[in-house]
Amino acid sequence: MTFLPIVERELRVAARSRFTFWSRLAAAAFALVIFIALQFIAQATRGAIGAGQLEFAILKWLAFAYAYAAGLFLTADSLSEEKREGTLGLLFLTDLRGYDVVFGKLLTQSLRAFYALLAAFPIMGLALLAGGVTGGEFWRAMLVICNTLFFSLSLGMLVSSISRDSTKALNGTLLLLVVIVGGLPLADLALAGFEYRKFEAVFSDASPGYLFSNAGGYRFSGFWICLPLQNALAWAFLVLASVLTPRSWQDKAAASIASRPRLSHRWRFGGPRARVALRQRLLAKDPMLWLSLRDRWLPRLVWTLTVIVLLIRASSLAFSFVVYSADASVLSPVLQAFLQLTTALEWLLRLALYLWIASQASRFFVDAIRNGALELLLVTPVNPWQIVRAQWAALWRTFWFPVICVVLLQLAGTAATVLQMKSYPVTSTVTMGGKTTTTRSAGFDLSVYQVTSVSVGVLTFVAGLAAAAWFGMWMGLTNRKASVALLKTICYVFVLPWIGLMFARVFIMFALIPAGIAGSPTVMLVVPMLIVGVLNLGKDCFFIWWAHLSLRVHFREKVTGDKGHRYRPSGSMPPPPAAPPVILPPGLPPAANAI
Amino acid sequence: MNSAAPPPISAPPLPAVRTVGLTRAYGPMLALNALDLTVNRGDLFGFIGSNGAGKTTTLRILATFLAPTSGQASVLGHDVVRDADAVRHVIGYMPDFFGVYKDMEVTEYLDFFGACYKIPTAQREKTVNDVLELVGLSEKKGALIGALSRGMQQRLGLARVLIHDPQLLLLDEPASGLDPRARIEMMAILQELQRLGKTIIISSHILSELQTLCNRVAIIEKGQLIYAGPVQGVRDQMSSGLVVWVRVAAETDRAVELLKARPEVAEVAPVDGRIKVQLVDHDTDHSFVADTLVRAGLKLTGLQEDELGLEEVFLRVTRGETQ
Repeated sequence: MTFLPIVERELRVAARSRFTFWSRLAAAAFALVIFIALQFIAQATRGAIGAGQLEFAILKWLAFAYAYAAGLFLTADSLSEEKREGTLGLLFLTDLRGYDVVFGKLLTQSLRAFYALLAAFPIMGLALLAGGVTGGEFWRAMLVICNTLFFSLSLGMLVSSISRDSTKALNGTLLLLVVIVGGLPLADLALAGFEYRKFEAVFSDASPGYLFSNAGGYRFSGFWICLPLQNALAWAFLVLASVLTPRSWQDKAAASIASRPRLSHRWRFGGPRARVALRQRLLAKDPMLWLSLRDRWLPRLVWTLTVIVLLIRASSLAFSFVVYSADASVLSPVLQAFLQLTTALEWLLRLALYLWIASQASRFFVDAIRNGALELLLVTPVNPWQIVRAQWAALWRTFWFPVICVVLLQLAGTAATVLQMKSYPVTSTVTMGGKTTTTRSAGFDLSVYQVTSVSVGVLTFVAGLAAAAWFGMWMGLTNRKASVALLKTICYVFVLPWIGLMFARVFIMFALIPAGIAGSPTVMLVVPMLIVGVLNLGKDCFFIWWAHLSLRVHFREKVTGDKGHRYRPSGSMPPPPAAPPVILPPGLPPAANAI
Repeated sequence: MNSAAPPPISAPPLPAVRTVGLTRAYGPMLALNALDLTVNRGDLFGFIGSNGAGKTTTLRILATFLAPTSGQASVLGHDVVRDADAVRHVIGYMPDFFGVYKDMEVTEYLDFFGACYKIPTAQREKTVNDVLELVGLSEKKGALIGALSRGMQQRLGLARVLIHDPQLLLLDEPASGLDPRARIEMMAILQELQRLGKTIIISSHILSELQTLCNRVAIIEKGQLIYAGPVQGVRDQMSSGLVVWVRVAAETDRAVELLKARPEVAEVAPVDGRIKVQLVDHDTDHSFVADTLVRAGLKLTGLQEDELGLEEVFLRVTRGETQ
């Protein structure tokens, strides 16, 4: 008998796959490019920043973010997808147990991710040679990152084992990841009365984010408590997933639909009257729009969360402005923590909007291809562009309110900051290229910076969402898995350009120093921001244009799998053979035959 | 003036479907190889072939879902490539799977597809009710599709196909996976549709049912047409002579000898207690078989004419070769 037969099979398949090798190479090359760029930056600062420290810090943060997000993109929809396709049940008709399937699936989804991480580690090790990083620090970071990858993937498996719907699986995993990385330290902070000095890790020991941020150069006493604890938690997630999977794979849809009072159905699609009203309103105008908008649970969730965040954040902004206007020294640690929390909430909402839009844009097409609905639709008079346009309109209707709320919060936040700075003059010190510039200025000296920042921020935020929507649709059409489509959208539209733009910004700042503009720190900050903002907008416009063009031209061939197929017309069709002439009965007028 | 003009020759009615040299390649593989096919209006046309023979590809091209690589295909006079929009209005295509949103109600589903075909809102409700009545699903109007049985889902698929009153129905394996009762009901609906004047092209593996259902069939293998015409025509082409099965109470060997002596008989062989008698000609009156045996004092206990079934014809004309 073979122990874990699926795992063995997957290892053999991965060993033979070219993609395994290429993904490792790509990961190492990516890390190397970043390393070289950082080396240039470190040299440009002429020793002000330690090269090794800078390279190691950036690379390890990227590796940690990659490892922590892996569960969301790789395993969250793994078992649930098999449930939707009805293939999970076939596995359980054999002698396979829950753990066989869970570990096999874990390996299938994560082996390449792990290999890619391993390939990047030697590049990170180069930082050791550059100095400023100890061997202990390096190995601790590597251990934490590997453990975080395992933790995140296991969490994704657990959520997937109890989910069927892809969006719910992704949302559930995202929520748990956020709660674990931020919520647990926050709980400890609350226990300490929101005073950082009194902070003691209790729940935080289970948070990979807490462990990672503390596993630095100095000796962190809790390291060997946190690491095994998180590892044990990851195993517990897998064991739980192994127990739950054999109990949750059966398709209960038909039975439950027929017998239950359809509460969930009513929540998702509305009551009978609401459904009829929506049909009457939309079907005649645009049936595809109705199809995209009939499921109301995500819009309801998004709008509800947005209103909650809007209320909390707006009240905190108003409150902070009132308090600052009076006396900032009366701000208690609890209030300070509250203000920070609301800022974090706003950022979380932004992050969630990116993910939701990308996920929603791609999911419609992935599902429609999988269940054959697109094949049915493409043989009706509905043309592909109508489908795309309706999906875009549905995304707009779902997300316009949250987007406007976030923009308003951003504007309000900037206004509050500018007003506070007007009241409290600040001294700013900028060190660039060995030259230190100190500016004593009133708050309004930097108002130009703030206005530029918020303008660029708002524009890039909106353009980024539009790019995610358009590119997400294209990815949905070209990928068979919702999670892969989402991952590609996020990586191509945000992550990779963000890394490139980050470096571009630093290089532009250095390029400005010899030009003699360094005299004004405002210009030093504003000009690179503007240039990077324009580049960012250009990037988003490119993605929108490219996805738009691809959807217009290649929609049908992507659905039919007709890649590169060309029709070669061969003239007109010959007429059908003529019928023999009709012999009229005698006496009948010839015109009667013409009828 | 009219009396001087020659009598007008009526234009032949356009065939429902006509393909000329229709070819479809998937990379180096030819799924369809110069297919020439004509389906007349009002036909209930059976499309027969092994898995991978090219049936689904043909139906998908006729439904404008796939583009051909070369050759031409027209549906009710509209070219499937150049005039695809017009074709989509006059056909109803039912693929071999059921593309559904399981969380949709039956009425919602049909209402949605009715809207896709731009049926006016006021008319849609009546149309939906009519097609549900036709396929016998009126009682399931408010049911969720996920809660319907396989047979009911197939009937709903047929209702969807009929929602815009198309003239031509392209049905790819509509009876696959159905139990005998559901299959019989489905076939009855198809016959009713033919009676209503629809042209129906149906691909199926259940050849015994096509045999009784269809007035014309086409057999396709490796993307090439092997036969197209009436069901009886292919039988006549394939059978060399009528076969009659005889059972006698005793003296089987003697009976064989007696029948062998007859000039109308080509071959006689005992098979599992019965006697297989193959006549020289398909149209021969076989009453002489009983007459011969009874006159010889043998007790005849059974006599049955063996009709060459479509399944046997199919096996004879194809070798089960696929692409």
